Amino acid sequence: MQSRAARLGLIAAVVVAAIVVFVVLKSNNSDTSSDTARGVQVLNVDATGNPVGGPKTLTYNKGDQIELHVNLAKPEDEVHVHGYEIEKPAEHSPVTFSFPAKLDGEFEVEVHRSDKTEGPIATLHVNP
Amino acid sequence: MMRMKRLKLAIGLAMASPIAALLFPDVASAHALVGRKDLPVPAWLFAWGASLVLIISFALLSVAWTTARLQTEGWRAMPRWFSTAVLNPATQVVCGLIGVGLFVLVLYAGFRGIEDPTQNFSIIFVFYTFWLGMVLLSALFGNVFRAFNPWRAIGRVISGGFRLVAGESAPTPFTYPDAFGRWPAVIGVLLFVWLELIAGGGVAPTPHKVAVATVIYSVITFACMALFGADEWIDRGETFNSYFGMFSQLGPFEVRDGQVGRRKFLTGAPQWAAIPGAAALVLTSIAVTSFDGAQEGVLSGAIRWTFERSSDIGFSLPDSFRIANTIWLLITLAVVSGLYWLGVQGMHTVRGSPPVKELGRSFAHSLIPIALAYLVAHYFSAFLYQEQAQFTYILSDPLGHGSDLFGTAGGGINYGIVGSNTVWYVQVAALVIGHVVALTLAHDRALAVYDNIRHASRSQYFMLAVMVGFTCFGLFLLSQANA
Repeated sequence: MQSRAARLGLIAAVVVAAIVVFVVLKSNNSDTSSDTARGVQVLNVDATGNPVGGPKTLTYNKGDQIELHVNLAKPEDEVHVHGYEIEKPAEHSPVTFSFPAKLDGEFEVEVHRSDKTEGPIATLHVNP
Repeated sequence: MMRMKRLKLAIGLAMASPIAALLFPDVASAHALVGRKDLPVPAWLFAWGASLVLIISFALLSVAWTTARLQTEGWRAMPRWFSTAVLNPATQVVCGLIGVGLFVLVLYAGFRGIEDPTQNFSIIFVFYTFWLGMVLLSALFGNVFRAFNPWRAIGRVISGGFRLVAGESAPTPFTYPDAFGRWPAVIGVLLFVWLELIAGGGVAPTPHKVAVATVIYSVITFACMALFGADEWIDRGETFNSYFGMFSQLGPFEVRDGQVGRRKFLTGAPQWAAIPGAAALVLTSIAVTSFDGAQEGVLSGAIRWTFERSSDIGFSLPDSFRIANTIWLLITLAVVSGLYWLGVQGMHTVRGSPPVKELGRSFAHSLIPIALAYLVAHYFSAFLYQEQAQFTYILSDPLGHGSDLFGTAGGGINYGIVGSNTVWYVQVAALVIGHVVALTLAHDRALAVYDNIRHASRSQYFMLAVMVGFTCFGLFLLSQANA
């Protein structure tokens, strides 16, 4: 039968071990800056209001400047960046965005078409 | 939860075929309820969480206590003035009125409000404030929903009126069969989640559909109250009372015989498991949350495959979506239940075990913390966002018609309220804590079920495997993609 002190000691050892594992694993993997998008990213939208080649995923790190040029084949209602809640009228092409990546997470960029439908044209993936 | 973008597969197909796009105009107007998606839990944190789970599990077994401590509830009434303050007729009437008022508003906003789900009270209230918020309140403060339950309030008024006119209580043609147990709630929870995730056929359910579903559920509830007795049905058969009541077993507060009382944390849970269907209810809760998490990640390929096969056969795109998702929801339920069943079979091999059926029931309550942890891990960020909507523009403009009742209609959701790191830590912490509490409950129960400590400990190797399975599965879902 273990004594109370032995049990508490065991729990303390477990906590210490867990913290060590945490620190080791975290320092090994903290560099997530792989393949981020840089400079102006061009998104082409065809006459049906869909992105040419399907919606792209653009990866950024928090703090990067996000710069998008959305080329539209015909006038649409607006382009909407979710989460950041930036909406720009899309009567004239290109629709340009330039804003810092302040929020991390995944955000959809969506076109609100002139026929009142909506569709994704890109996904912004912002690493913390 | 309810991210209409999950429809990407349908959108993809719709784009591939112009005819399909014409048939499926709704998909194009899909609008995300949640503007920010959580990033998947990174590999290093997944590894850390999983190893922590293993270390804790074995540490817990080695330091485990040897006499059951949580099996006797020890509910004690709180001071009389407190019960009087909380449960007097005036507060009961007020709570009932609030419940009925919100219920009417759900119907009114559903039938008369804007069709955009992000702008309509009925959607935000039912799927976030009510369905998720009540779970949180129940775990902390007991089954508060009982006081606000609109069906109960209406039922009490009607049976009170009957007594006044007829001079006696309304007759109840049937007594609630014991074998029904918690099964009506199991069906209710499955149908509720089906409405939320699947009924829309690829988009969120419209406010109108939610209102219609509310009417149907109300009709069924009132019919069952007439058949089995109002209080009887509310206490034993009504879905939301059973579901929220399940989480309230973890907390210290419970009302009995008109008195508020307190007990030690977790001691309410063991007696909860004794009723038929208890295991099914908690497993269903775990399964539906898993399904919601998996459908965009682990299961997305499988669902898409099933979706394409169904549309090849000739089903419309929304129907194919419904078929594919229903099949995979049921498969998820079967897998989750199967895991628990395997654990029970394992325990059964230990000498001195009760029959399998009884054993399965005996340990059901130990999964409640895991169900709660899954909910927190999957929905905590979405809940934080949607409650901002609930208390700003939805509050002032519940119908989406441009009103500004309280001057908050101009408010919006601040998606910067929590960072990804915070979200990850909360998710992993919820699962790990849920795991520890679940193991605690199971171990304590084993000491009561088995007549000697050696057999009890041996039986717990199997439960440990089940719990580690659930927790690591939960972590895995979060590391793949987030709902």
